[in-house]
Amino acid sequence: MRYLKIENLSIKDNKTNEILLDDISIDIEENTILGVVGESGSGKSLLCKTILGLIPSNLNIEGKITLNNKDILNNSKIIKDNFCVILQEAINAFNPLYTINYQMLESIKTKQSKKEKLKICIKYLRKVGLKRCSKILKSYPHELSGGQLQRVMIAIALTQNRKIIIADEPTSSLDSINQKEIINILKNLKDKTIIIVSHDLALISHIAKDIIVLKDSKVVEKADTKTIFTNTKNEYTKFLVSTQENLSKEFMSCLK
Amino acid sequence: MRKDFLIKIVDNKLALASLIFITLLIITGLFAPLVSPNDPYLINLDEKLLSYSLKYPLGTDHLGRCVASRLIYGIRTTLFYSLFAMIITVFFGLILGLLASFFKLLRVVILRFCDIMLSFPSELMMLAIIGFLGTGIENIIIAAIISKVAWYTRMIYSFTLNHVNTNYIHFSKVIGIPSRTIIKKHLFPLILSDIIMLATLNVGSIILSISALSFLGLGVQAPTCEWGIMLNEAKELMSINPYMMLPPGLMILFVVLSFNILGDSIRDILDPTYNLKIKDNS
Amino acid sequence: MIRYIIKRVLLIIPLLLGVSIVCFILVNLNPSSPAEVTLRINNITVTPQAIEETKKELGLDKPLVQQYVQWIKNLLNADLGTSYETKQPVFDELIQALPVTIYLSFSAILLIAIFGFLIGVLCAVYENSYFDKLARVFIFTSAAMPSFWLALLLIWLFSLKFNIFPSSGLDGIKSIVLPAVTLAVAYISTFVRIIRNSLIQIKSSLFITYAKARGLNKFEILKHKIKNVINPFIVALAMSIPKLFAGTVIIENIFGLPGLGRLCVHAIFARDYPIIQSYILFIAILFIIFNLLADIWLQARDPRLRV
Repeated sequence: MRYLKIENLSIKDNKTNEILLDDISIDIEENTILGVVGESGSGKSLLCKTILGLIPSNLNIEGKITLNNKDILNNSKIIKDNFCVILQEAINAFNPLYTINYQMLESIKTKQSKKEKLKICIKYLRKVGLKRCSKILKSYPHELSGGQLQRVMIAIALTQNRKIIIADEPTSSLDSINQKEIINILKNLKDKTIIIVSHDLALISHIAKDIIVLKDSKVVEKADTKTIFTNTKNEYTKFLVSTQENLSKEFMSCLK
Repeated sequence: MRKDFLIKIVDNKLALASLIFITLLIITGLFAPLVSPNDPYLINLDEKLLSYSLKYPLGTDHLGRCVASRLIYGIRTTLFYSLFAMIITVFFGLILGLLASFFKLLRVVILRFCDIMLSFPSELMMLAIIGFLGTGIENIIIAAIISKVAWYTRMIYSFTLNHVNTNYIHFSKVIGIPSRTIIKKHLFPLILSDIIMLATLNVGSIILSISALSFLGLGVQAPTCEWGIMLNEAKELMSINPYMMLPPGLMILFVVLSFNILGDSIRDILDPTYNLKIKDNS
Repeated sequence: MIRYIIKRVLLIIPLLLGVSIVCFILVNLNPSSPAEVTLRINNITVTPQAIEETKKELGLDKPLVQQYVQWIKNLLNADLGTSYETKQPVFDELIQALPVTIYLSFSAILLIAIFGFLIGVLCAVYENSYFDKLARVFIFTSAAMPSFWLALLLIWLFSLKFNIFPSSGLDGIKSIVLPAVTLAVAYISTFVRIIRNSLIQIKSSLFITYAKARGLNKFEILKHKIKNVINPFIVALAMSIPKLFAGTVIIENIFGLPGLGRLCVHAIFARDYPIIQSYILFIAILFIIFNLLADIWLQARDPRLRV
């Protein structure tokens, strides 16, 4: 049983002595979706990057991250075998000088022939709702829209066939239609553990089983979705929820 | 914005040092007769090629003239002529650039003309003009101006375009402020800082060009004090007294370096992302 | 792609025309007419009669436009005129001097490309290290240093003192070392800056982060980085070449290399207008061609430009 555990994770900037993540402890169950919410700058993206081993060298890490009791902090082999990523700005996430085809194929690390890899790519491009897949494969990143590129990113994550997906604000640069479709794709994935980071509570409520609230580099609340939205005791969470509610109320009243 | 600007310059120690150095140099040049220890033109063959002493702080050259004095008077030639050339070039570039931005008909003519002039590398254009006009300091300055005017025009044109298209100029137009006021109050201060940056970055290359041409004998003629000419004379004395190469060469190096550092700092302040851009048209 | 090339080549034609007009006008800038100058060079007494005769001889009595057309016609027949001084065809003189300049320029380009790339890459990889800072000092200083001064210092150090390299003349590789190094140092600063800044920008770009996140190994990520830095590299190189050709003027004079630069300066002293004019035209055309090549390269290699 896969089991991701973050224990007392703290990150400090060596130069400015600023604490970027403060004693974070999270348990993540297998095959569930965990939502991480918080304001901009609360440390959400940094948390994702730390799990993936992508943080710059001037940051000092303390604490442990284990997967099935194996330490994975900076163990790039385990990370490569178990994690895949969906990032925020899909438009800038691809090398503008290589085709999508090239970049998709190079992401598949299994020892298969090029033909087989291509089949897999097309299968998953279709799964994420893209039409005319062969044309998309031949295109360069600048020829596709933000929504398309974001779906390509998800497709790549799926082709890599790893158990844990980390999605860092996968829909914040998309229009609402694309947002809904992509969130649904993620929701319908089977046998995957997903950590999804967002500042949009409404989105998270739609998809996550458990939610973690980050504020000022600290975890202020961990609970399941229902509790967060109906029964929270934490002041900050209440504030977040009510702000979201107010915004939605305005919108709902416009529709009447 | 101006106060902020000045504060940032003062903050950057290197830029500040460069600014102080250049100012001191200009003051020294202006008061050359008072500051220099001896007459730079005074030939005294008995005292040739002396090492440094109290009377001759940097020694004497092959004709017994005081090197330090020649260096100081050389400020007037090399530095002042370069600054003069730069100011006139900027002036013409400004007029042409602004004309090109605001008058559609002139724009095509002026820009085509710039394209053609920019097909010649500026050192080459200077060489060409000297070649056909003849040597002498007036011709060097004319050459310096003509070779760079097209570049300035293009740069000022693109700066103006950049600024004219910003939202607040549009907004000003929309709320009805007359064009003349827009140009005076908004455009001018913006372009001014861009121009200062361009000019500072370029003085260095003008100094290098003028001294290079004088070194070859195509510019200022002896016995005028000029750092390029001093280097030419030092060349002949290389085997006897190699130290003669140091004062004028170091002088040129430090002056150009100061202008470059200053210009770079100004550019950093105006557009901190410049260093990340790839195309470098200077 | 072919369409783009044809379009660009066609666009160049008016530019070439304009350049030729400028070259032509430059000759007539001089207050004293070319006829007078020819006479003076050859030490013939200047009388109004002699001037008239020379004018007829050189075809200078016809209206300017006609002169220009004739000049263009001659150009297209590879007839660049005759040198006032040596009475030899200018074309021959240029061709004779060309190999030396090419030799010098390409040696310098090689140095710039190799060392510029190495230094740029090292600066970007070890950003803000002591090496990077030292390299930046070197870059600033080399950009501010007068090339003729550097030449003199190198001559003194390596020719006079250590006697490793000759200080002038052209025989063998040894005599090209100092000139090439001097020329390279003068232009290497822009090059290093472009490489360094491109690589730093690429290093911190999102697509490299994503590439790492996707699990690409170091070699594959390197491929990505190099692919993106090649274009700025080539463009910088293409722009430097004609500038280098122009920079050979000073270097060839100091080191006594019989190339185009020395020919030009000599012609300026001797007021040999046909040579000066042809040299200027040649360099300008070179400039235009290399600009064009750089643009075509970019168009071919950067998919974002193909709309």
